[in-house]
Amino acid sequence: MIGLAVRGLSVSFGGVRALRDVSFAVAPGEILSIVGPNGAGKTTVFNLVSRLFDADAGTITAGDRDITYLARHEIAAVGIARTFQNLELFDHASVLDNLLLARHAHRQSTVVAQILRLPSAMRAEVEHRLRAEQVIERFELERFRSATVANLPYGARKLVEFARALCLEPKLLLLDEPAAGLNPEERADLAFRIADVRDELGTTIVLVEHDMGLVGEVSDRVLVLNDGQLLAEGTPDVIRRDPAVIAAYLGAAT
Amino acid sequence: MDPWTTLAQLIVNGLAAGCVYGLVALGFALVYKATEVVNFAQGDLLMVAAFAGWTLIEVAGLPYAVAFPVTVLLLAVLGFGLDRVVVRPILGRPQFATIMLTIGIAFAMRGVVSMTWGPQARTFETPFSRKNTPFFDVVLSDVSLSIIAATAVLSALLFAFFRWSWLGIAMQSASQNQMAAYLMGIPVKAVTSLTWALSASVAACAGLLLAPIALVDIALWLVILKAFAAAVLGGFGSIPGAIVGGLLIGLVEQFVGVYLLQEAKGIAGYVVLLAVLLVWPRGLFGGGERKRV
Repeated sequence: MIGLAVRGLSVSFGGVRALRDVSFAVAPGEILSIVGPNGAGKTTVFNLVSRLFDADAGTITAGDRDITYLARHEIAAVGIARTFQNLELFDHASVLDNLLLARHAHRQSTVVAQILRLPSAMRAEVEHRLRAEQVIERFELERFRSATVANLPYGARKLVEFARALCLEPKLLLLDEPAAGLNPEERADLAFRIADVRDELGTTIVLVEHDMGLVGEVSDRVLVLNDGQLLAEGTPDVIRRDPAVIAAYLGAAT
Repeated sequence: MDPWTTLAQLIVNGLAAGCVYGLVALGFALVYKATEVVNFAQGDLLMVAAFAGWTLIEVAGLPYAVAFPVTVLLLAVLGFGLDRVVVRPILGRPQFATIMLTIGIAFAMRGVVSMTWGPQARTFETPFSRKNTPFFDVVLSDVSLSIIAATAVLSALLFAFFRWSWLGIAMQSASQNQMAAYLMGIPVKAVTSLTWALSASVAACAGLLLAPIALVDIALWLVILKAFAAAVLGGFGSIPGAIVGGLLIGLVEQFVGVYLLQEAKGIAGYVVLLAVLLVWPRGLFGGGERKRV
């Protein structure tokens, strides 16, 4: 499992300074939550770490590798997977195919071997299918296995995206508002699954989340962003009582 | 000729022409699915391939079996380069810009071909030229049979490619959701250029197969019009739809020409195109993948 270190990260979009000199670190195997009001720059952190945008300044290190300027498609090979607030799935493919696509970074067979269905390619295929089935079992997605993603209820699609990220066998997992739009039962399942993934697979997890209940339940540490800047950092209990955090959320005068 | 012989030959000729339309339509579908660009230069890629094949066979003296794959490879490189150098910088601009761009590419290719090879039509020898195969009472031309057989093999290869190979699957995923494809470790831009390469290779196969019956001539690009009808009939962007649409257009043309009205043969494909657009715009395999706004 790998840690993540962000140093002096800044980025602007037009005149908006989305992040200003943000630094933080996540230890291997840790669960860190990033919270903050809307527009605080939480998802921007994810977009920079997963290389969808370029940072204006600062460095991002995953494990001992500097990924600040890595190509987007190489992120998976470093061991980073993420989910999206608004879901980015292959909507017209089945759940199983979505999960198998996440095995892409692990593929070794050649195109010719695969077209001719050579034994080497078939063995690799069976291996990938096995890994996908393990994730399906972990997330109890059996009944959705061959359903087309576009036809699934929202909660199930969120779970599929989480499952697909796991199929990458990530060493660092970024979950962007995993609880948004879930009903209480699904939310409870999610809290269990996040903890389960870390405890059983050892995956380092960074969450962006508004649901403070979930954050308190699963996080080792919480980071508060406000207006593109780091406001506070600490255990969930400390953060909940921090006057600066309360002020940022509630707008109370201090 | 007795009616059964006529019928059998019509079917074979119709299928042969239809295969070529289908392959060109397939080229459309590949690029359209990957980038939402309608490549109006698809017919010109076919035309360039026919000229390249003629040069390799008649000038360089290569045997057909060598010239064929070499031409396909050359066109793959051309397709890759077109995307990398010309099309990629303009992606994300309004659709109109990309349409003008591919029309521009088409005119440029026609210009280069007429400057390099001149306006006269020519032919090249193939192992199938001027040969026939008797089939019961019917005599079928080997050229037509070669087109049908080659299209069948090519379709099977493409089916396997898209179904089982990581690259084929990567191409489909990149066309469905670019952002997700990136995060799955798929180099989307390179994969898109490879899709153009594949599309141009398919056009090359169509050009080399068509040349023995249609002459190597600049006007070969006009096949794009029939292919357009085939693509719309099959459902624009559908790969099986392109082949089936092509076969149907090829058959309709032949049948209309013989059983209905000789003069109507040339416009039969466009009548089908208009009819499909009016009453059934999604086409045969259009499916429900309508764009959401």
